[in-house]
Amino acid sequence: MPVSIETVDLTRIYRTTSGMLWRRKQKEILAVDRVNFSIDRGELFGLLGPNGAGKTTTVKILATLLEPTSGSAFVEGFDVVKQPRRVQERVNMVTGGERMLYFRLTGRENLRYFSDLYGVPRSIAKKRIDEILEMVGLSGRGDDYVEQYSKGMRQRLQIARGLVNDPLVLLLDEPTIGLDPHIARDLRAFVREQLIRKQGKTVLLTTHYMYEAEELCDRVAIIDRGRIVALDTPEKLKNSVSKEISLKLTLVGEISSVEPLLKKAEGVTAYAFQQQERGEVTVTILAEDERSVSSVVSQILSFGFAVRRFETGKPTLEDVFIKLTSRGID
Amino acid sequence: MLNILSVVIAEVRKQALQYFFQVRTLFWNVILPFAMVATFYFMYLPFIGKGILISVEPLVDLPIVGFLVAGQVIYNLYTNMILGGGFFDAEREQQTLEIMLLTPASRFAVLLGSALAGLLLNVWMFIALVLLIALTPGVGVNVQDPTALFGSLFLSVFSLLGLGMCLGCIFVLTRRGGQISASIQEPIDFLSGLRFPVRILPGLLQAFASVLPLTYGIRATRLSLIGGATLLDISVDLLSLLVMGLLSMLLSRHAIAVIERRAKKEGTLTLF
Repeated sequence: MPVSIETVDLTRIYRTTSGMLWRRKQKEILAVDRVNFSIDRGELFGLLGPNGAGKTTTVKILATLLEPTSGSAFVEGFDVVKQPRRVQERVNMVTGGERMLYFRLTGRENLRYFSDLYGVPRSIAKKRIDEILEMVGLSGRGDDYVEQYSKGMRQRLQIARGLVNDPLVLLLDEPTIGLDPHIARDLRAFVREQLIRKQGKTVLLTTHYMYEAEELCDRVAIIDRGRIVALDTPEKLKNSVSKEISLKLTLVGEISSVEPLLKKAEGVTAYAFQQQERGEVTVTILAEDERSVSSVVSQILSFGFAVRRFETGKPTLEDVFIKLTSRGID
Repeated sequence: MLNILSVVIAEVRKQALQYFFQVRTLFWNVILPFAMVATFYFMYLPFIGKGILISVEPLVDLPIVGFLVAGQVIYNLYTNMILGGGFFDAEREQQTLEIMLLTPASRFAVLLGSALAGLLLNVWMFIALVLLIALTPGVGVNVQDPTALFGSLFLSVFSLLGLGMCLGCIFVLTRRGGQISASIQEPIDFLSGLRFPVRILPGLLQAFASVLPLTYGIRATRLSLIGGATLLDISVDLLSLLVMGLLSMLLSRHAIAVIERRAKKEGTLTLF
């Protein structure tokens, strides 16, 4: 399979300043740290990580909207820094959220405008816009103003905009964020059926939803604090923790009081916390075996914590993330 | 070339659909010139017919009302061009600047289209103002050479188009486009001779004034609309406007490439 996207030691540092005149301070944030991956043509590749992990920065570099501080990236063989126009002809990007559209134009006018910017000939553009609107289920609403669209419709129009230049590569940056579950499900089905199976496009999807990455992606790279900590198929990644037992508990208490207990617990290979509302903590634990599970649960109970929920199951990608980073993904 | 033209048309069309051909804005766009003329008329009414003259050149005296009104018309066009340059700010706010720059479209064409849109949305109001003022009694309209007036208006518009494109470049780079356009208005209002002849300013300030296209646009329009000047009389002003227009367009063509690259390096294309 020919390579569609490739990054080599891709690094991006943001330099920000803060403070007033004489107290001005410069700060450096390492957003992407020597990231290496390659994506085959027609592959659906996931970049999975928590907020601030470097996913969007990576996507923006590939979309030519941001330059790397060092390293390089290629899309369809073209360097994103040295040959940005060549890359722009072959790529498009869709992000989550409902902006990035002209609300005072109709859906069709939005698509026509972007077709013109991509230099799509009028005769082709008209036919293509009709087809795309049909494909995303907006053919009946194409002549309505975008400001009259629902959130889901705007997101579908975003996808349509991402297809106006018939790109070889589509970058989907958290495309389902903020969408109702059923709309997100439809969108995932659209990506899988239309973009991958029927049109054979290369798709790079960033998400912090584990199930989305598991359900859609051929391969997943887990990214944390700008670095790729694991890269493989979802199955193989899960196999890396298959011998362990995943345990999820919801307790009444504070993280600070639960953590010392887990640090000392025998047989616990990794854990992560999430403070919830109403004084509850969700604890995800990877334990070596059933005996370790019993041991840690009885310790928690002996310390007087009330357990609201208790779940064990097969390890998921979230467990892989916890094992690699000792942190939850949300 | 065809692609550039198609991008320019797409940009003008988009801005026109967004900001002009909307029922809610169309009404005000039609009413505004009348309201402006009424404002000028009543503001200067106490001076009409009083025979007050302003000396713009050693041997050229113009009636004060015509002097102020002609200056105000060009200044209004200039203000609208600055606001037109601010289209990029609006793009940034609605998060469309990124997806616009994601395309391989010529940035010069986008800039030109955006500035042209600003111009087209305002030039009809400008023409309407000139016509309404010409028909208003007591302003002191004295056109001896229509080609001189046409040349003044056309080249003022042309040079301001170039200025609008340069401002558009700056607005791509910075997130403070609105602040910049607001803060440059007062100095330019002062230096361009909107309310007094530039020749009464101290030498250094006159030198600053001489680099502003608005100074030449206001002067040429005043002299051709009120002072009865011929094409030859204002040829230096017209030539200056032409050169400034061409230079600023060439400058914007190079600047947009440099500025886009810098914005990508610094990560300032996004709003947040």
